[in-house]
Amino acid sequence: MQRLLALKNFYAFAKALSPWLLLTWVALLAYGVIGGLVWAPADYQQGEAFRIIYVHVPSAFLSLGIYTAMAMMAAIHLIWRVKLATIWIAASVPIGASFTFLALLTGALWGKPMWGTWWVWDARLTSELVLLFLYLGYIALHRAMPRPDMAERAGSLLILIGVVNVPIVHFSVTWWYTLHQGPTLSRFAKPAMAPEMLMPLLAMIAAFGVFYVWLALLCARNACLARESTSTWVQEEVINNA
Amino acid sequence: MISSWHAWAAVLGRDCQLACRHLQDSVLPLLFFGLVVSLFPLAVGASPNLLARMAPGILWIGALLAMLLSMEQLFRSDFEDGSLEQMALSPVSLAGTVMAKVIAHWCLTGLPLVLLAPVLALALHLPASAISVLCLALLLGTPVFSLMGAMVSALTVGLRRGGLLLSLLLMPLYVPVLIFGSSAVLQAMDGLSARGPLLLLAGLLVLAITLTPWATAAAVRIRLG
Amino acid sequence: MLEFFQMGGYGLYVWLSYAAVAVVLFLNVWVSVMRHRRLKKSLRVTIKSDSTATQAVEIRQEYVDA
Repeated sequence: MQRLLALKNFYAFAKALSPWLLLTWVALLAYGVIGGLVWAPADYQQGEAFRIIYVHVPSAFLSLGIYTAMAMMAAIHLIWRVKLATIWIAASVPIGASFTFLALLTGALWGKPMWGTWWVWDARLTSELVLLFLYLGYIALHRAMPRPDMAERAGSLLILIGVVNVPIVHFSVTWWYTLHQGPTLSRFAKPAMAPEMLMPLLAMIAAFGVFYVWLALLCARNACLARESTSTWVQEEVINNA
Repeated sequence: MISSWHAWAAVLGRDCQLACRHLQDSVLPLLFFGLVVSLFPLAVGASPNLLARMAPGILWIGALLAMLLSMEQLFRSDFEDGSLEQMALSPVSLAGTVMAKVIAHWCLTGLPLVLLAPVLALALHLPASAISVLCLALLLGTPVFSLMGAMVSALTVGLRRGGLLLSLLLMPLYVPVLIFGSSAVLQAMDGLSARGPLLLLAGLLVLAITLTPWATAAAVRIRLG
Repeated sequence: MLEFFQMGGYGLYVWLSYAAVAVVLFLNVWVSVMRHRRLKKSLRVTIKSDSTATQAVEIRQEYVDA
């Protein structure tokens, strides 16, 4: 563990892991997309439109999952001052914000044919919107800080503040939504999905997760190269792998 | 060596005294609150029924924006003249010092807003029965605004366009208070008991008092570098 | 085949969703891969031109600013 924390070893580890992740990703994605678009039968209530689930749910899942991962890294950063944790956070933010945006966008594209409107002030949609603001707030704060180390520490604190707030916001919005008695909108008409519908969904969630790890590792490698540009291992790496 | 209690009281007294000397810092948010609220009838029409229905939302958003506006001032002058650094260096707990500053800030901006709100509520035709709930809800909610505002205000103090950034970061965090606060008033208007949302607001206040002073102290330390 | 693309009349929504995901994910990858290449290239140039520590520091600074 200690050895992996050195940027040099981390770089080598990430580089070795990368092709395997890519391979897993392609396999999961192929199964998920074909299984979701072709093999899965149409939903008896929503028809073919339910197939949006295979990109919508993984995006929403990852948007929250990445924020949670960032919060853990932020705690590690603030408590143990681990450099690698901030590199991982910096790599995660754009990906997490992208997935949050995609969850909202695909949600709107699903809502239009199903509910007849692009946007509903549904509890989950509203929480997702707040999550997008938290991601964008992090980026804005990070850019505004005068020094990189200060930006990283302030950002980590902001993520921790955010992660305490996300459940409270979600609870309050759910409470507000049930109070105002909107039309009952349940996307999952059936309590349990048929296995030929569920398996591709699980595969897509896994595929999105693997994609996140793969891309974050690439971004992290970039950060390692830039931070240690004067060290010999970077110079060897650059010369040997032209 | 002075006790931490004395230091705490000294900071509280000093901040109150400073605020009394710069009275416009407390008067401007009040003025802002009144103006925002009076713009709504001009924009949505003066129908008493419509205004009464919208009043809880208008008043809460007005109070939220007024608090937001005043948050930027909380640490700014202390950051610029170096007092904040002295407070961080002193042996007295920084979380306590920060708490004293927040209390002083709330007494001079939050409390006046709570006192002005019933007058504006009457102008918006809010039923008299709901006004006491409105005051109680604001009394519980505005300290949460101050406490959470202090946390983010410490992070953004002294930054270029810090005020704008502060609003951007704070508004999502204010969502739960806004929801419970305006729901309490709406329920009172409908003749229902407002106990639930008021208790939830009180819960938020307790949570904010417990957690935010530490986060604010950490934020001050980060900004001082 | 046409039936598959029409998606029971919901084709527009389904394909727009998948396209949006593909575009956004691709952009993410593209930016990172390009940055990786640029970074390696500029580091290589620095090393070849009798690398001085100051130049490497400049690259680092550029990255931090970006």
